[in-house]
Formats: sequence, structure tokens, C-alpha cells
Amino acid sequence: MNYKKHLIILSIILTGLALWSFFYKVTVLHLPLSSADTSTLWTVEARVHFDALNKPVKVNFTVPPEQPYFARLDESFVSRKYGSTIAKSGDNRVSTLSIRRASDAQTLYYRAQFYVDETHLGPTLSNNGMNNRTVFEGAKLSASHTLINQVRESSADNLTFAAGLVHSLLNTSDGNASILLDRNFSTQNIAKTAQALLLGPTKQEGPNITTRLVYGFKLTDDVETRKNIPLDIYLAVWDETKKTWHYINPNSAAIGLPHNFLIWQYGDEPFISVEGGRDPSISFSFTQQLQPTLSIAQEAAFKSRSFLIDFSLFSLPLQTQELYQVLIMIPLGALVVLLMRSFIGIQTFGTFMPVLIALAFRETDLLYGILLFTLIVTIGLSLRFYLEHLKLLLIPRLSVVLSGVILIMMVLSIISHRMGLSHGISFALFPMVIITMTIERMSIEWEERNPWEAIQQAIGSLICATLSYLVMTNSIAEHILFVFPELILLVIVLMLWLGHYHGYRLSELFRFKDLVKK
Amino acid sequence: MMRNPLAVYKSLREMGILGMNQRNAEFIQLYNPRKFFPLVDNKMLTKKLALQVGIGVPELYAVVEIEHQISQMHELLKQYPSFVIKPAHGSGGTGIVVIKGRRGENYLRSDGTIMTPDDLNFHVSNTLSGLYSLGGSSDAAMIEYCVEFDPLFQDVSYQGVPDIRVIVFLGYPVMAMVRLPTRQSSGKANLHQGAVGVGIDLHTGVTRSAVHLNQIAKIHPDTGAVVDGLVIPHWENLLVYCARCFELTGLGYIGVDIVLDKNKGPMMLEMNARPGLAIQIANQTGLLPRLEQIKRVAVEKRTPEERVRFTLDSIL
Repeated sequence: MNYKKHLIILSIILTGLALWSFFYKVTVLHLPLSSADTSTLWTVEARVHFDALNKPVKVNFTVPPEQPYFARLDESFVSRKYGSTIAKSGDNRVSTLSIRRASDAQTLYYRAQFYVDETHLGPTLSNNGMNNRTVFEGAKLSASHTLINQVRESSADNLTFAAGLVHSLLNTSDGNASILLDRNFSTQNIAKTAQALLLGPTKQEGPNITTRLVYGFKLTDDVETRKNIPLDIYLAVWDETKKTWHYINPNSAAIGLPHNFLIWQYGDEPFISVEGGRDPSISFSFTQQLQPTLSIAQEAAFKSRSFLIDFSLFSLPLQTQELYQVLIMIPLGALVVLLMRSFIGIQTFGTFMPVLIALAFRETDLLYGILLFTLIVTIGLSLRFYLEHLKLLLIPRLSVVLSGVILIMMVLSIISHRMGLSHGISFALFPMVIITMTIERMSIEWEERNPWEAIQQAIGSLICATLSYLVMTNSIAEHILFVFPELILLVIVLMLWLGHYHGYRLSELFRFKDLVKK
Repeated sequence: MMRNPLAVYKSLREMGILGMNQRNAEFIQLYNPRKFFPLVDNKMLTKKLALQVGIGVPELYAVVEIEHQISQMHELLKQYPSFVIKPAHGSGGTGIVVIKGRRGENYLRSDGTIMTPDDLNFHVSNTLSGLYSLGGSSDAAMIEYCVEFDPLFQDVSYQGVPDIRVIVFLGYPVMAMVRLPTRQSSGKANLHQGAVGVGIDLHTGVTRSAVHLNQIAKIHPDTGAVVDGLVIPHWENLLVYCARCFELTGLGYIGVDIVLDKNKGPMMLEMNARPGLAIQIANQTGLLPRLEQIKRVAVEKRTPEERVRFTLDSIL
């Protein structure tokens, strides 16, 4: 059959589209599957201070480079009238702030927000290392030979060699180390001495291991702002075969960067330089906040200029977003009604009235909503039966019933408020016109067919509405459909296939069951 | 007495019982083009077309289309001792008022209640404003001949008008039943409201066992008269009317409602483009085998008379 082919192709296309978009959003844009997910967001700040000399001022300072593990959400300068640019300089990023004229003390801020993104790879790093060779003389020369030979014995490759060397230098009781370090056991000195030893005095002599220093600090889970954080130094060792840098802690000779280590600068250049000013200083601080993963992912995705986000619900104004949070659930409600009618065989007033009632229940809570609905319909129905005596035309009668329904709702609101029930006040969305029509249809059903049938349909409508409500207010489904509205396409595919169910409804099994007895 | 639903499902399939979903998808959607629906939904149009192709229908006395005409209605109705008022676009038998006689100024309904002229005006006014019509759009009220039903059904109906429902598929009558109003159905011929459904042997036009509220019945619950074995007069003629309805409407799957008038013979009351499934209960038979049979033979072009011949001779 021709339509079957259509159905299959359409299903494949829709499913493909939905799943592609869904997986793209999950794996690339990292939109979270659960609304409860939170992520840590760190706001990192560099405070730059100097005295301006009433001349054109140009301040250069490094800001954190692109790096693996950390993704940057946002960065900005708080710098009054300064013009700002950020440029790449080798593996680093250098910001330049400039102003035509400034005097007195100047304080500028750089702020950036980072979050952990395990899949974030960072750029490919160059192998530019330190290339100033140091030639040791006298006691230092022999100490360096001894140390290098010792360490070489017990190392397998450049990395373990470098780590071993740092380890030896850290050994304060080792005479050779003391000589080489001039008894200065500062981290900086250890790192620099190790660098010199690893490069070697000359190219012929070796060991010619490329190294550089890396500055940064560890972002911790402190709640309070951490101020004036000193930058930690790490020794980076180039691995020629893997084309990557390995890191060694010059304080412990441990290999690898610590968890949540934010790199501020590669290499040994000064962090800050000022033209037209003096006494420049830079200090660092960070604060940590917990944020819903959704909002972080959303902002990150906005930055990525992904068209899937540009054309997503997030691009709408907040109020409209809230509306769609409700509307996007309606297909699920419709699906429930479809199942109840085509498979179970429950009768309802109107095709999708249960969905509208379910929407109304959102405002009132389920139990209260059912109670309210029953009460309003009952009172409305009595009103309608009374109006029968007045022999009104249809439209005026409907208008009277509608007005009556509103008055009933008002009175119920006031009573329930008086009784201290807070739900009663908030059923603005309760579809009054729908209820009025329900009352009218129910009364015709009541008179023309029989009361039992009218009540049956009313109960059927309520059952459908309740189920729709439960599905439509499921918070997991709400979140997933709002973030991934493309999944509605899957619902549509499901509906398309359910639409080809030509079998019996459950109610028909009862209806016809006596035929089977024969 | 709850049996395994799956077993019930299977048995129903084996019996060829047509379900609602299948009826909608495979018959109504496939054989009833929507553009022809107005022909059956508008009873005035149905009546006009039926007269053109020689199908008997109750005579139309008057049509009330605007409020203003309501007041003149009574004057016009004076000449008719009995009549029926029905909405032109009524659905499911709603909005039908049967007037059997007069009590002074007032009207006597078939169920014995009295209607004042005001009551009647109100009813017609409701009809005009679309209370009984599909979708609530404004409507017209038809006033027509009140059928004096054949004495055949005298003993087996309680008030109301017993009618014969025939399912016509591609112009072939495939199943038929008589619907007998009961006290419970308050004179309405609707099975699930408590009317008795009596299956009819298509070959002979003789009534068979009946169903009342899903129970097999031999007698009418109110009158106690036996309902099976009744021979329906003009049977072949009646089926020909039904068969002609196919050409009349262009609808492949319809229910045709026929009443038997004492004097005028079979009359077509209305057609239904979504006929119900209860007829299968009345006949204790599934529709599907017959529908499949007709699908196979319908490729040949036949006149209504030939089709009725086929039904009388060869329907399963």
C-alpha cells in the first residue's frame, strides 16, 4: 500500500531528525537531561593596579588561555574608559587596555566565568619552550653532572627524568642540589634550575629536553571568595612523541596538574607590563557558584552560535518561554486522549476537551480541580435546567450560563479563600467557555438520550483529563520536552502509527463479548 | 464473568465483528468522501434527492428557517392532525418531536405529554439556533408527515416509531435490523438506550432473534409479544430503496433508516454516514465477512435491482 510507504519514510525522517537534534544537543551543546542538574561556575578575576603618569597608557596582561577541561562562558573588563582587546600571543592570550590619557592610581578588572567541561579539548599547544641555556661552572658543573647521571640511571624517558631531577633538587640534604640551587629552595628557583639542567649547557651535551613554566591556580569549591591567590608554578615538559606537554609539580615532583587547575599563563614572561604608568601589579581572585546546568549549557550554546539554539525556545522572551513550557506538553495530553479513545474506548465530551480541562487543573491542583469542575458543572447544569423554563433562545441561554459559571467560580473562590484554601483563588485559566459548552452539551445529552450517558461522558472526560494532567505535569517530561522540543516529532511518529490501529477497543470487547458466547 | 480479553479479542476477529476503529479507518474514511456528507447531514437535501430517484419519503409539510416564521407555523399546521418536527441537520435522533394530535390549543406528543404552542415555539427556536445540529451551526426545522406505522409492529413496540436500519455497502444491502422502541428507551429507537434490536434474515426479510440491552430476547420487554418470525412486507422493494441510496449519495458505507407506513409502504427517513455497530449484536453476526464478499463482487457495475438480487440470493 502506498500510504504505508509514506508512513515508514515519514517516520524515519521524523525520528532521524528528532534523534539527531536531540543527540547533538546532549553531546555537543551539553544540554542536561534533568532539570535538577547543577554545575559549578567559577568567576575568576584579575585586578590590575598601577599609577598612571598623565600620559597615554597601555597595559598588557595575560588572561587565561583556551585550555582543556575548562570552558569559558563569558569574559569582560571593568575598565571605565579604557579600550580593550584580547590577542593571542603564542599559546597565551594577552589583553591590551589603552587610554589616551590617565593619571593617578588606576584599578582595572578582568573577569571571566569558567565551568568544567570534560570534553572541552583546548587548542593545540606549540612546543615553544625555554631556550636560554645556562652554562654551569666550577662546583655547580660537577654537581650538575653528578645529579644528571644519578637521575638518568633511574629514569625511562624525558618525563620521568625530569620528575626525577625535580625530586633530587627537592632533597635539601643532597649537597649537589644545594649547590645548584645556591641554597635557595623556592619553588621558582627549583623550577628554573630544573629547566636549565633539562635543557643542558650546549646542544651537543644535552639532554636538550624542552620545558617551560606554567602559571595558574587551583579552583576550589570554597563558598567564599578567595582573594589574592598566589599563582602556582608548574614545570611543563614537552613530549616529542605525543606532541603534548606534561606537567610536574616543582614542590613535590608529582606528575600532572591538580584537579581544577586553571592555567593563567604558559611561559615565563611577566604577567603585566605598563606603558605610561608605573608600579604595575596584578592579583587574582575567584568565587564559586552553583548554577543549574541548563542555564550554563544554554549560555554556552548561545555563544557557540549553534542554529539549534538560535532557533530554540531559549531564544524567546522569558514570558513566552513560560507559555511554551505549558504548550509543548499539549501533544502528550493529546496522545493520552488518543490512547484513551482509540484503545480503551472511553467516551468524552468533545475530542480534546479533556486536554483543556487538564490545562485548567494545572492552575488548581488535581484533586481540587476535579472537585471544582464537578461542582461548577453540577451547579451550571441546574442553572441550565432552570433556564429551560424561561424559554430562552440558544445564544442568550449560553450567555447566561457562561455568566453564571463565572459567578459560581467567583463565589467558590471567595468561599475557599475564606476557608483558608489557597488554591481557590487561582483558576484564571479554567476554561469557562469550555465548561459552559460542556454544560450545554451535557444537558442535551441528559434530556435527549439519558442522564446516565451524560454522566458517563462527564466521568470519561474527567478520567482523560486526570491522566492528561498527570502526564502533562510530569516534571521530567516537562523539562525534556522544553529543552528538546524536537522530541515532539517522536510523539507525532507514535501518533501516526497508533492511528493505524484498526483493532478493537477495550470497551468493544465488553460490548461484543456476549456474541462470543455462542 | 471476566474472561481473558485476548481470547475475546481473537474470537471477535474470527467472527468478523467490525470494530469502531476499523469502521472509521477502512470503511468510512475509504468509502465515504467527506464532500458527500452534506447530502446525508442535511435531511432536506436528502429528501429532495430521494424523491428524484424514486425513493419514498415522508411528505414535507413546511420548513421553518427563520425565527419570524415560527409564529405563522401554527396556522399552517392546522390542516395536519399529526406531524413530526425535526432539525434538518439533526444528529443521533436528537431534537425530534412527534405530534400525534391536539388538545384544544395544545399539541399532544406521541409519548402522551402535552406541548403548549409556546413549548413548540421554543423547541423550534432552539432548533433554528443550532442546538441539535452537528457543530452547533444554525439550522432549519422541518415539519413533515408523521408515519402511521405498519400494524406489523403494533404489538412489538412501545410508543415511538419502529424503524428498519439497513447497512448498505457499495450499494449492496449487507445487514439489517428492526429497532423497536421500549418504555426504557422512552420511545427512541436507539439500542443502547434500551430499544430492542431485531436481526433480519436478508434473504427472506423475516425477523430473527432479538437483543435487548445485550441480552438475547424473544419477546418485547413491554408488550410481551414475540419479536422473531415477523415477515417484513415489501422486503425486496425496501432493499431496492436502500440500494439506490448509494447512487443518491455517492457514499459507500451508509446506514439507511426505513419506516413502514401503513398506507404508503416503505419510506426512507434518513441516512447515516457513520452507522453504528450494534446491528451486529442484533444479528449475532459480524459485518466483515459480508463486507469482504461485497468488495470482491463490487467491481462489476450493477443496477440497484441487480444488487438487491445478489443480496437476496447470495449474501453470506
